[in-house]
Amino acid sequence: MTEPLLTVAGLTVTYRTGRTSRTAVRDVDLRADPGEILAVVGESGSGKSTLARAIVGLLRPDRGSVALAGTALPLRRGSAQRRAIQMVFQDPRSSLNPRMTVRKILGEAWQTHPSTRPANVETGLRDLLELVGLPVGVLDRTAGEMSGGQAQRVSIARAIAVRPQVLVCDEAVSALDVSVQTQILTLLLHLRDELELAIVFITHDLGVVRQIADRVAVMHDGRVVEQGESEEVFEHPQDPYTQTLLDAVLDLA
Amino acid sequence: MSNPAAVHDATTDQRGRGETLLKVRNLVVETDQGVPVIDHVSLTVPRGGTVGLVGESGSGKSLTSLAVLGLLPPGLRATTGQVELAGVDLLAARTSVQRAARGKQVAMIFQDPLSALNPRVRIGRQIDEILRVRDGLSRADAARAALELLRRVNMPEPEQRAQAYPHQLSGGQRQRAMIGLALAGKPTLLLCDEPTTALDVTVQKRILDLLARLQQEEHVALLLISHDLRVISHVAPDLVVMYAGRVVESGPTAQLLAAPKHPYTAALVRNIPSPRARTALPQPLIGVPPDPAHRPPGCAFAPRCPMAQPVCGNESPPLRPVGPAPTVPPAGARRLSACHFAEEVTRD
Repeated sequence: MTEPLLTVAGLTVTYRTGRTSRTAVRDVDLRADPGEILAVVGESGSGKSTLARAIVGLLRPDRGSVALAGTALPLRRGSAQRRAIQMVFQDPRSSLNPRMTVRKILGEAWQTHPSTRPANVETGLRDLLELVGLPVGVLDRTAGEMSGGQAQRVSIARAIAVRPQVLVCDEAVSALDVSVQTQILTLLLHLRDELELAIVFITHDLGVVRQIADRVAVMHDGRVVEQGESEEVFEHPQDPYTQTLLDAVLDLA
Repeated sequence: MSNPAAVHDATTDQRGRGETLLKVRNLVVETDQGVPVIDHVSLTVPRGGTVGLVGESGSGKSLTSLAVLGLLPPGLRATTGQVELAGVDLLAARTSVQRAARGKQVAMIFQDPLSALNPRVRIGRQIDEILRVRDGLSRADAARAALELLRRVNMPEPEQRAQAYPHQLSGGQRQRAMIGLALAGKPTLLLCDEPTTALDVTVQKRILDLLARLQQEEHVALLLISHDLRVISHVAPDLVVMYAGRVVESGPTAQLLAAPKHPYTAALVRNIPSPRARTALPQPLIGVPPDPAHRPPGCAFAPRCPMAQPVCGNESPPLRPVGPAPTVPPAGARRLSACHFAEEVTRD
């Protein structure tokens, strides 16, 4: 059996402030394969965003490892290792510089990882915009002039510009209106298929999870309490907490 | 900007029960530059009833509630229309009359109780302050009454929580405190703007159930504003849908969900992901709602509408009655739609 693309093993992250400490992620094991969407669900405070940050390398874990194609990533990741795992945040208005043009935002990604810079930058920009469904006209507009949905497409373009293998999306559609949310979800499915991406999709919205996830991990109090094929988890939840979560979900009356 | 059919109230008072408490008629709110951000909005809330107002960001739903409260932000003014509360036109009345009517009768619950509560005052004190000012209670009586209010909103361990500061409470407890605070003034109308949006899924339903119970027990009317149709459908029997500053559809919630008569409502219903069954992603709507300053000439939804015809780009569709008239009491609210082709809209 081949190694999964992304393997998270025994990951533990503790926050320390002065004399107090809080373990936000405890012994988490996950895996994701190319072309697969793994949803991580849980309430606020369950540790899902901390987990996302540790996977991307924005936080140092206290224990455990993140491995790419079987190779454990060191605490100080090399450029290629950082490039391979990219992240999309919840609110593009705070993750993008509102006064920077789209051209500059995407150009910076290639500056950070020159190996991915296309031979013809102008063609590369056009291809990238087409891939995320933006008109070429936005290139010289700033992120601040765009709607939330368009700006989120720019964030996604920035993430995939450096040709990652794994995309970690932390509540990437939660701040969007429903009519725009579906556009972005459709885009993510398209990218998963087109680029064979493994997508770690962090969310609290179980409705979205059921629509797009291949597998689901349920987090509670820093631990993954249940993990499995999406339909299996929804139809036959094993952990009582998963059941609580499913019972609480609002649906159209 | 005449809109002849705007005389139809969204959720009319042709219902069999109850008198009208809040009546918004042809309300127009404009920026200082004269750009209408709320364009001839009419809606009615019956005494003791619950009406849901759904719309996406920028649709004008929150501004509508702020206009009712007289709390429009600087740069925005209500230029025409009426906001009648128990028969008093708040827009026309003198400021002192407005204040008296609003202060006694209307309370509001915001999305984020942490920014609406005073961070430096204990929860119990924030509530009993209202009771002392409004009802002239003594300090001891007010403290007792505040505790009773915290019990009514199901605050766990109310004696201890009354002594706590807002930051010491969980999100759900804070929203319960906020609701207790709102009820302290014995309002007849409670405006709830995204009351559960900042809360976890496991807490959302409990807060909504609390609001529904209080509406019954205290006979307070609710105007529930949300971008989330799931939240509204959980508690509101009547629904008003706003898009780009206008009401595009209204009527009994169950009917709107089962058989929408406006393509925008249909899109909203279609796009809400259900956790109950695995469904494919729906065909997404293209584009985004228009900027109020650059509203298209005809129907504001036309550029995104899968059913759009040439007429939609030229003529703004009036809000008009659709479907069969409600039968003799008890009848639901009349269904209204602002679509040229309302009769042809299907949910899927």
